[in-house]
Amino acid sequence: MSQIREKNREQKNLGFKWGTSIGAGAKISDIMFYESFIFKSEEYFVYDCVYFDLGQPEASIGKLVKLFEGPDHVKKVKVVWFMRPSEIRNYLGDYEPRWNEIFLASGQGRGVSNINLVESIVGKCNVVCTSNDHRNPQAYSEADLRRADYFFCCHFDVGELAISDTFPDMVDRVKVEYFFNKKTEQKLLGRINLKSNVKRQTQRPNLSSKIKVVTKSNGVTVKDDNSGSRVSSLVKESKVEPVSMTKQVHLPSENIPVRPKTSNSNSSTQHSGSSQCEDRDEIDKAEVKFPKDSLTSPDEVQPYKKRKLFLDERTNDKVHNLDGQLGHDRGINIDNQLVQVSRVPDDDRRNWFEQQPWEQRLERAQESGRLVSLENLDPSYTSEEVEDLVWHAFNEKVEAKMIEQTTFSCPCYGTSPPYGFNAQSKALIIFKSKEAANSAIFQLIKRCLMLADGRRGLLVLLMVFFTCRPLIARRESLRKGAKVGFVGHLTIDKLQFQRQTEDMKKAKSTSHASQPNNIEFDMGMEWRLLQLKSDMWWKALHEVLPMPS
Amino acid sequence: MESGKQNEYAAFEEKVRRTVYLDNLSPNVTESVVRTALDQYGTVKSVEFIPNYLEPRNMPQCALVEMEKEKQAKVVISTLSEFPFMMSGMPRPVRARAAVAEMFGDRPRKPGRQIRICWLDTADPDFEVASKLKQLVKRHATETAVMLKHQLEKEEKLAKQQGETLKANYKKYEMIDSLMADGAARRLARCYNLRVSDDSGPSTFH
Repeated sequence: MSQIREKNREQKNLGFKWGTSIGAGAKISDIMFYESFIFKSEEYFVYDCVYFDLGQPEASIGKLVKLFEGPDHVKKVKVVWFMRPSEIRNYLGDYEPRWNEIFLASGQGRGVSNINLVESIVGKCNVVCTSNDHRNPQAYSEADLRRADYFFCCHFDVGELAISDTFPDMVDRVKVEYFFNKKTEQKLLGRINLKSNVKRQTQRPNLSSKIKVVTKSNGVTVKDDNSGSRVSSLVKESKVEPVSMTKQVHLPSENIPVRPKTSNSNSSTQHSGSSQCEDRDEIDKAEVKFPKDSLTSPDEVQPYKKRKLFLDERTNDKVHNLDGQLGHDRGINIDNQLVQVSRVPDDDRRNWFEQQPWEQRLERAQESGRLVSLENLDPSYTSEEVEDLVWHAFNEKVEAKMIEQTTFSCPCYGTSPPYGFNAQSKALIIFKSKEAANSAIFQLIKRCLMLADGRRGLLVLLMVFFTCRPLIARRESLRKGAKVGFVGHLTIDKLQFQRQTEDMKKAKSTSHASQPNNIEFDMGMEWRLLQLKSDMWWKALHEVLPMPS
Repeated sequence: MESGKQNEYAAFEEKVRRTVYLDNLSPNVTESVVRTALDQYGTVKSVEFIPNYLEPRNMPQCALVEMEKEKQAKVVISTLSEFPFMMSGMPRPVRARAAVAEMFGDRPRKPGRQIRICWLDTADPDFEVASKLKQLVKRHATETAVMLKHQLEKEEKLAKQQGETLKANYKKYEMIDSLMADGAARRLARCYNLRVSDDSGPSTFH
């Protein structure tokens, strides 16, 4: 033990430090196995997915299954590999892998796993398993999938040289459950018995069940104390020292790295720490903050397209400050300072009075200066939700209409994974009076109203921090003007002067799909080309690039 | 109560799947035109145009067409992507795409959703961040507007180009037609001892 400590002191400049040891090797007692280690200011746990630099053009991705050090003080890790599609392209057959799909190596033979030096580890990798295997907790959401660096749903058997999506029980003598997603809090409650399989983790279920019980009773998630001791070296993460709030259960900080497997990805540090059970007010901080190199920034950056924002690190003080600002207590559920937007109680009343058609109302509102547009809303909000939102925020009853998503007002059509949720939407709001409109705009300019939205409505907060967006308001004026001619429909002027027979008129106006035997088809195809081009440039504009690690 | 909302939402989602989103529609296109046009692919249940409040007035229209079955919607989309479909004028084809929930103005709430808001004041440490975000959003909005303008310009250019090509072609056609019509061709043919027959019969040039 003391030898190891000496070694650590020597290597402090490399930033390497073992975590808890889990015992000596069974066969060779000189080898010491560990559960985690800190290397280059990042903490790696067993069963994390990491990138390796082995001299190949692309980094290799593997899962750490054993961390150990022998008597020669050489630190090694045993890794089970994930194959990239390019590596097994000869054996893929008809299977068309997605752009960020990888394959778990399995079976007997070369290439499934090997032992590497710790120094070849480059960084953590966020891998999600999307397999429908019953042992795989479907504990990920679409946003997690988007945020993940890679996903896998099949494994590649090196013996049979084929891919398959039914997973064996063991992969290189490691239970396959470890390769699947980590379970979330809620699911843990039901599946605690699964964990008792593993002798190494007998400590965990008890602790976890304690945590879960507490969660249920308090209705507040428990501080993850992992943030306590180790974090000092993790400067880049946003984990904060546990704040003692009255509602919280303060876990004793010890050597046991309490890490209940709540995160649905293997690398907890990816999510700015918020993927673990953390405080809610930390969550809304995490939403706003962008850790410099964290790989989760894609989903936070998503609303903000190709930008990188660098923020300052947070300290405890900020947490306290925000606490003090509770404000806007309307007797609605206040989750710390996030105000829950619930249904406005007497919203049915608006249906009592007969209303003029929407267009007229819009025009009148614009004339009297009551029309405001709210921007940067989540496009999946409905008009009613926006009205409730405004009521909660400004204590004003308004009429709202979400502007529908069309190709030009919000060209992020479709829900294809890289582009789906970065959209922002506008809503038109009609206030009751000009002063109300003015004051709302003024308030939104002076202060910031942040929106957070829990898409799944689960207790588990790791969902909450998806989108955090400040609302922007602007006085709006409808575009007026007669409908100008439509670009793209051609007429031959001369024909207009001829008397067109009924048939001719019908022929021109019948909608039809043109056949490739006339000039109309060629021109139509040119338009098609332009349309496709415009799709591409809109996509490129709204594309969100992942943050470089 | 909850289940009622869930059912409503499920029904709405199903409707979304059955709906086709059309754009690049001319302003002359009316509901009946769309209906008759798409009737050949299946039963059209409803046609709704999406009103355009904030964009420049000469944007092409968009519509949501609800078909009876999801399969019909899919057929419409695939046919319209394969062949350029013309409605009320040529040659700008109509574009069809699968509809998305956000396109419906009057959609029901998604059950189980929670929205949370939080005010930040200037004193708050995150205020700077938030204001930076706001600026970013505004910037994006202007970028989008510029992109839109650019797109419209491109479309105009293409239309002009095609218009000119069409005119040139038509001139050629007119010329040939008039030549045949006023007998100039026949006279020339007699000069050169060539036989030129009328349009009705098969032409035989030896």
